[in-house]
Amino acid sequence: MSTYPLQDAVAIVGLGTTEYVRDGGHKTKGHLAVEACINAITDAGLTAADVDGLCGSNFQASPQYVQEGLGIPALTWWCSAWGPFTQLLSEAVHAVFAGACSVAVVYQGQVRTVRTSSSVDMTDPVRSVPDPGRSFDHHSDAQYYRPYGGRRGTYAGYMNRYMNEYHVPRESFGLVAVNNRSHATANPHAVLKDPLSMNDYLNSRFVRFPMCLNDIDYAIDGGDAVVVTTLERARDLKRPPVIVHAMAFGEHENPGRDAYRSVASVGQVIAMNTLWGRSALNLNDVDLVYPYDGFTVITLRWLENFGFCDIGDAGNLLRDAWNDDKQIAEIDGRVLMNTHGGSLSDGATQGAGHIREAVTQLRGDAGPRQAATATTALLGIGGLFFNSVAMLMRADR
Amino acid sequence: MPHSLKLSAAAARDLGVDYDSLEYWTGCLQKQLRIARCRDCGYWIHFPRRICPKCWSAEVGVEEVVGGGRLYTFAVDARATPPVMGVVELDEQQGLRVPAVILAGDVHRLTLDCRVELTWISYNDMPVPAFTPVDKGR
Repeated sequence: MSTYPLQDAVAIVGLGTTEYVRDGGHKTKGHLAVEACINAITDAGLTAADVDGLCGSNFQASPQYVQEGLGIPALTWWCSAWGPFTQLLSEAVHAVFAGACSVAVVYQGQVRTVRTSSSVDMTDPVRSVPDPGRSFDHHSDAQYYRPYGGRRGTYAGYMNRYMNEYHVPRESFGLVAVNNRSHATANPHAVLKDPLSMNDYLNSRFVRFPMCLNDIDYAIDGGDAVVVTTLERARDLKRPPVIVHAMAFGEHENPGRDAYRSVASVGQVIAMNTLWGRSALNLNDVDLVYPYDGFTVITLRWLENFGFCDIGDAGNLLRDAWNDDKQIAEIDGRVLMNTHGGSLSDGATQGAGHIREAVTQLRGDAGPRQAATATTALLGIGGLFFNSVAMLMRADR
Repeated sequence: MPHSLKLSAAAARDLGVDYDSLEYWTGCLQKQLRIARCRDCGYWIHFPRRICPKCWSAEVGVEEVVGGGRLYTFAVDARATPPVMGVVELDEQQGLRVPAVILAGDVHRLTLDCRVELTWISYNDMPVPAFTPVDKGR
C-alpha cells in the first residue's frame, strides 16, 4: 500500500492543441494558449463556467490574460510557474487534489523567435526580438555570462562531458533523433515528417559542438492545453479519463546549470527515485515511454534514470532494441518511445507534446500510430538541472 | 563602495551587477579574479554570495585566486566570437567551477581536463576573465 496520497486521485479529461507552424501564424503566445484551451475544454465536454483553476507561465501568457480570453467567470486558483509543461501540470494536479479548485486548465503557448531559432526572418518585428521564454536572463547569474554573449553551451558542454566519461559515440544520440522522426512520419500534427537517416544525422551541421542540428528540438509557433479534475468527477465526463498515477519532481544540489557536481548528478535521479517510491507499478508495467528531448542527451539520461540501463548505456539500449524495418526502438521488444516524434520532430513544446501523446495513446485515440498495448505510460519531462519531472499515467481500465 | 576603481553606472547596468557581485566586477577592473570565500570555514563560493552555503556564516569575503585550473567541459559555437565556451574547475577547490570563454589556438586539439590558465579579454572596454590552454603551443 502506497503512502502517497495523490496516487490515482486526479485525471486528465481534456486535451487541446493548435496547428504547429514554423513561419507565418502571426498569433501571439496568448492567442495560441487560448486557442488550445478552447480545444481542451471542448474536448472535455465542459464550458468556461466549469473551469475554476488555471495554470501557465507568465513568460508566455499570464493566467489573467487567458482567463479573460476564455471568459471564465470565476477562478478560485491560478498559478504561474516556470515550466516545463509537466511542472505546470504538477501544480494543477496538486491544486485539484487539495481542493483549491475543481477543474483546472493547464496551458502553454509559444512563438518562434531568434532566442530559440537563429534562422528567423530578422525583418519580422516579433521574431527578431529574443522573447524571454522561460529564459534565464532574469536570473542574477546571467551577469556572469553577459560578457561572453549570454549563457550558452551548458547542455552541449554536459553532452561533451557525458560522451567523454562514458565513451558514448554520436550514433547513440542519432538513434534518438531517428526514432523520433520515424514516429513523426505517422503523426499528422508533427512539423518534421520527412524520414531521417543515421547518415542525415551524422552529416547535419554542428550548432554547438558536440551538438548538431538534429540533437536540438524544433522551434515552432503553437499552443497546448489539458484539463484536469478529480478521478471521481472525471468518470462522469465525456472522454475516458487518463489517470495521474504518480508524479515526482527532482532538483539536484547545485541547480545552477554549470555547477552540477558530476554528469551522474542530475535532477532526473531524484525525480525517478521518488516516483518509484510513490508508485504501485514498476518498469515492467510500462508500455510507452516519453523521455523529453529538448536535447538528445536529456533523452538518453532519462532512459538511464528510468532504470532500463546504467549511466552511459542508453545508446546501447536503443541499439539492442532497434527495429531496422521501422527505424524505431522497441525496448524489451515492445516498449515504444516518443510515439509522436517528440520535441525534435512534433515541435518544441517543453514537454506538452509528450503529455498530449501519452494521453492520446492511453485513450486509444492514436489512429494509425496507436500502440498495440497502451495501458501505462512513463514520462520524464524537463531538463537535467532544476526542472526534472517524472510521471506515471495509466488508462482507467 | 570599493574605493580604488569604480564600476561605471552604465557598465553596472549593462551587466546587471548586484550587491553579491560588486567585488567580483571591481576585481575584474584590476584584472584580478576575486572569488568569494567564507572566512569561517574557508569554502570558496562561485557565483558570489555573501552567506556561506556550507556553514551559513555571513563572514564571507573575496580572495584573488591563482588562476590555474582544468577544463571541465566546453562547447564550440562556430558562429560566436570567441567560439569556445567552457567551464573551468579552479585549483583552489574541487567543484569550484567558473564558466568562461576559452581562447584555444586549435579547437580540435582541445581536450577535457586539460590544464588552463587565466587570461583577460575586453568586454565594453572592461577586462573580463577568459582561460587559455597551458600547452596550446604543443
